[in-house]
Amino acid sequence: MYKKILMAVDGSFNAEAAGRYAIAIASACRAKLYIVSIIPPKMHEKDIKGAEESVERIIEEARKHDLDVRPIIEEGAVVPVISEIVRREKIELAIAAARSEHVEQRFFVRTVSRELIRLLPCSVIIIRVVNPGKMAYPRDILVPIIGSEYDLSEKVFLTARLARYYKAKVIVLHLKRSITTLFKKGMIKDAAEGEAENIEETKSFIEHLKRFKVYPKTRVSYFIKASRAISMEAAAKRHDLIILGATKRSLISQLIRGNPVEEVLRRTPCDLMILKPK
Amino acid sequence: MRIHKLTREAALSAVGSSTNGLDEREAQKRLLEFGPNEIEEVEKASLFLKFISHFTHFFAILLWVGAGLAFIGEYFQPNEGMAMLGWAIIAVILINAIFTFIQEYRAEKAMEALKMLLPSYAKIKRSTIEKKVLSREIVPGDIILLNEGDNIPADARVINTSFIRVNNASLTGESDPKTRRDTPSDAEELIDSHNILFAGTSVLSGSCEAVAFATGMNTEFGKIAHLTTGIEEALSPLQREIVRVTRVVAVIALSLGISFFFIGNLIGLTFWENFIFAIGIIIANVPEGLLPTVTLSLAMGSQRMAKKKALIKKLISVETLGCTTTICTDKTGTLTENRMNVESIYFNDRVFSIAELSGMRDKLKPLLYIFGLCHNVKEDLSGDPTEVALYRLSKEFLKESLTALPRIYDIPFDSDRKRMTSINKTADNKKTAYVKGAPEVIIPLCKFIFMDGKAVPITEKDRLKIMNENKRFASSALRVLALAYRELPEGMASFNEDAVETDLIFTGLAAMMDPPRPDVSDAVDKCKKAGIRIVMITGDQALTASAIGKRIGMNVKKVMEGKDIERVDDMRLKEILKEREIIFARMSPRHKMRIVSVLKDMGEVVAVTGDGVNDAPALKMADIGIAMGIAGTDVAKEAADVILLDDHFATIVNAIEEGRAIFENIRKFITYILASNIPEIVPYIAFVLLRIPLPLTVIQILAVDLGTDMLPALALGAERPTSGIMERPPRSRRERLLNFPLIARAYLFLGPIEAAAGLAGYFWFLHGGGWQWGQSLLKTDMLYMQATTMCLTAIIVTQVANVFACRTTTESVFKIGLFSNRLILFGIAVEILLQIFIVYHPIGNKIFGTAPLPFSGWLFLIPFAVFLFLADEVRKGILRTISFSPSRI
Repeated sequence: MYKKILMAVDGSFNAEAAGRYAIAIASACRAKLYIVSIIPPKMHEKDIKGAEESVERIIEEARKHDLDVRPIIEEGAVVPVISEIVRREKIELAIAAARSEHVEQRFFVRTVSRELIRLLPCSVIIIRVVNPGKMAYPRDILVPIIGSEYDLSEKVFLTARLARYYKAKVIVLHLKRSITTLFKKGMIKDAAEGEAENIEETKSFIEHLKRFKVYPKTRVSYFIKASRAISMEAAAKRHDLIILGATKRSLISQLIRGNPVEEVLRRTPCDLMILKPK
Repeated sequence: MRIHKLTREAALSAVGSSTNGLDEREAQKRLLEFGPNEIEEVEKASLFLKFISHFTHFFAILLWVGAGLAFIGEYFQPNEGMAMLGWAIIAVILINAIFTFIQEYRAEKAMEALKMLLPSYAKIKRSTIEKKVLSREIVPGDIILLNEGDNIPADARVINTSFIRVNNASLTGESDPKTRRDTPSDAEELIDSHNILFAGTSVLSGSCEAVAFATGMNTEFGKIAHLTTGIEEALSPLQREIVRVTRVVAVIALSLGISFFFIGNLIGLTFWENFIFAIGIIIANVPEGLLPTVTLSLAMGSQRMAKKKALIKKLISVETLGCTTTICTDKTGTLTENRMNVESIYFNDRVFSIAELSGMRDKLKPLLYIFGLCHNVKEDLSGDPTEVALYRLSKEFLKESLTALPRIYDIPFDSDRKRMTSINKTADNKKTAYVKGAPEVIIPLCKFIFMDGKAVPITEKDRLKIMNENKRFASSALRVLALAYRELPEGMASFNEDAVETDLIFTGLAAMMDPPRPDVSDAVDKCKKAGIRIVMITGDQALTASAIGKRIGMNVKKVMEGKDIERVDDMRLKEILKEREIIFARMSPRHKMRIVSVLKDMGEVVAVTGDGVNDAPALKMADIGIAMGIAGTDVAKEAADVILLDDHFATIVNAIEEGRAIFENIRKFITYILASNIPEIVPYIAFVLLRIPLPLTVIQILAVDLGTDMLPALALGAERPTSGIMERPPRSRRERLLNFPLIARAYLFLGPIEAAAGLAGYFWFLHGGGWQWGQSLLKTDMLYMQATTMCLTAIIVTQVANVFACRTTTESVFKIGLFSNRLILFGIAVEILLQIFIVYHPIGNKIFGTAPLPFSGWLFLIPFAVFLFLADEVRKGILRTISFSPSRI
């Protein structure tokens, strides 16, 4: 999986910070890394130069990790051009950074990251870096399992590779949905013996992780709102990275029930990766 | 590699910055990328939704259904008073909701209090230009310029420093100053690193430049804000019980309504007659007065607790306190006085207690000078408790003033150096350095020892002896300081620590302890008898905490430290927490939150004390968060449910006693209120089954439920705690507010007696007025109105007896004093006056369809009241004899 990875940068510091994670993923997967910068029409010359320098910096950093890295700088509209590059180069995973200004906009507003998730013919990871001081070096990775996620196999793969690469601990957070939630509201606790085995998705996820020789801890949340549980757990336990899967909720469902992934993206207390498998 | 491990150049490069700072354009871009540097609520609580919730909880829904049924009944059978009943129920819901909302509305200002710790403005450098900006505009990569007194606006890596010392108390709880440096750090965690500054903390002295790397909610401070405002509050124990009471009442009401619908059908009544009848039964079963009585009782309870120095912020907390099973308490300031006392001195090769020091003033002078000069205590004796203790001792023994020895320089204390030096000008115009600090730090700096009035070279044997004394003191959990001095050579140009703090003359050791508060031992004893567990959670060291624990009467078998907790998972922690009394030492605030969470998961009702900003998440997570009123920060007070106005542990225990009484009292007035349901239902049943004129109208039911019953019920809510209430364990989670013995007492014992009195009075009056069985009477017929008035009066009179009976569950009322609750006497007086108004006043007659009664009518009813009271006394006597547990009725 993931032999060719694309990292989209736009000259921003935010994207460079996310680039550190892209380098880690590429190193963990021994993949070829494409650093792509798209120059939109009427971009200021200073910004063009900034983007080019940004690409160079990331390439220099990638080469320090002995990665096979290639820059691509093209002109045009961001999403269509990246889409074309993905097809042309047969990219398997595209990575982009999320910006605060876009994250604050509601889910029905089209932002670059949402369009990339929607349109690219490959797996996509959107990364939000909130604490550049931690230098993309997580020691604790929180992996919530929300119902209505896409297929979990890529998430397992990504989590396992990153955990082994960083030698990080993995904590799987199961978000319990039952009537007892009302009476145990607001609690997150370690899963009791065998408790995780009762939940199909979590059980399967953990079993697959173990095949990669990653042995996670499991915690169970009794929060009514999944997004709140995730951000509270990350804040309380000071996790460094959250790996979330994008959900399959329809527009109506999102309007009624909300979208926990979007909510976590807005409120995450630590760096966040959102994976949408192909 | 994290930013604190990098060199300053690498750190600057890592955040894409330089010593010149960002350029303005880049800074604006980053503001869009990372968002503004501000603290915001995770989920904004809607005031409107909060208000609406008082109309939509379970009991309110039951009342809405009752009102709806009343209006349906009015539609099908007008002019029976159903509409008035419906409106009355709605009025009850409205009044209760508004009252509770006003009582509790105090928009939680935890967020505002947190925001106050961040500065509004900050000085930064961009493109080499220094300028002042709004703190919210700071972005990762900005160079922040800090000076003494500044609050730090963002998490930052120091890149240039001039002796900067900071106070991290808002984050860590430790108020010891920390020196920050710009060199790479080996620490694992950022919080332990010497080159990191945190948002929400403050600069005590010095200045520095630092590069921001985390802003807003992504700082460590932001995480506290996140946790403080994001915690979902579960239902309190009383709220859960009221949910259950609602269900039980609803089931009984519906069952009776449906049953009598079918019975009516069987005896040939029409569908609509049965329907109205069923509605009447259902409404009669719903205790409309219960909700306002509970609310008012809690409000009165909170008033009583305020008098006992426990300020209740949330009404429901009044009762939750009563079911506390575990108290997680701080040590310093709550269990102890937070006032150091010097217990012993090691001087001249001997240990002296304070009592032995009198008459030794001259010999002790060198030591007393150090006590009196090497400190930062203010004139009003405020300051570090350790320094205050030493300063007070010097003032006590030294009669002369030390103002003639002014300070000309000082090398301040910080938790890395562990010592402090004051350089003073002495009488002969010389300069003397007075030094105090941790023994292990001071003794190596000493070349001499003060012995028999002079300074002699210190030997290894002396050093060993001093360290052994230090160990001995420490094993008794005393805090030890070593004291030394040195006359500085003339012409000394620089007063840096290397030049001054060397070749010192060791003078002595001072051993101090922060004593327990005077009545804490009694309070701990009370807790033990009451089955309440005490868990001490402190940042202090294990030995000190353990010594205090023993002194206050804790039977401690286990002492654990924060680092031990980090190594165990929740399962193991649960095993550890099964110990009755346990001390956690060297704990950080996130450990506290974890312990609270695990205890709650174990089914405990947890009360937690706290005073710091970083205690706010634990205070919110606990069933009862208790903040210190004096020492507590605004953040802690806002996050808490209760504020101790005197910071005293014993106050918590008194408040728990009051809280336990509340639950008992709620049960008493539930019994009282439910008992009157039977005499309201039975006339209705008799009306249908026996085909008699309706003995009690709907409006008369209302007069009881929302009129005459209210004040006596409230008065029951104000009963003093029964004796022995703190000598039994907290109520079990399985113990219900409404259990079978209570229902049986109300519905099958007290209620039927009242119903019998009501019907007896009704028939007695009808018979006396010449009524024949089967004869119908008009509603306006004087005989009919008087007969219904008799029924109503019978309920009132027997309720007077009932309120006395309900004052106790198994104890005889005579034992507690029949008239010991003045509020009940007042309530009864109002009840009787109201009834007199209903019976004799023309307006009362018009509204309630009543008519005046002769005195003989009252006399007829009194024996029923006496019978009810005595019968219940006999029942209690039987129960006491067969030794039912006091928790059952």
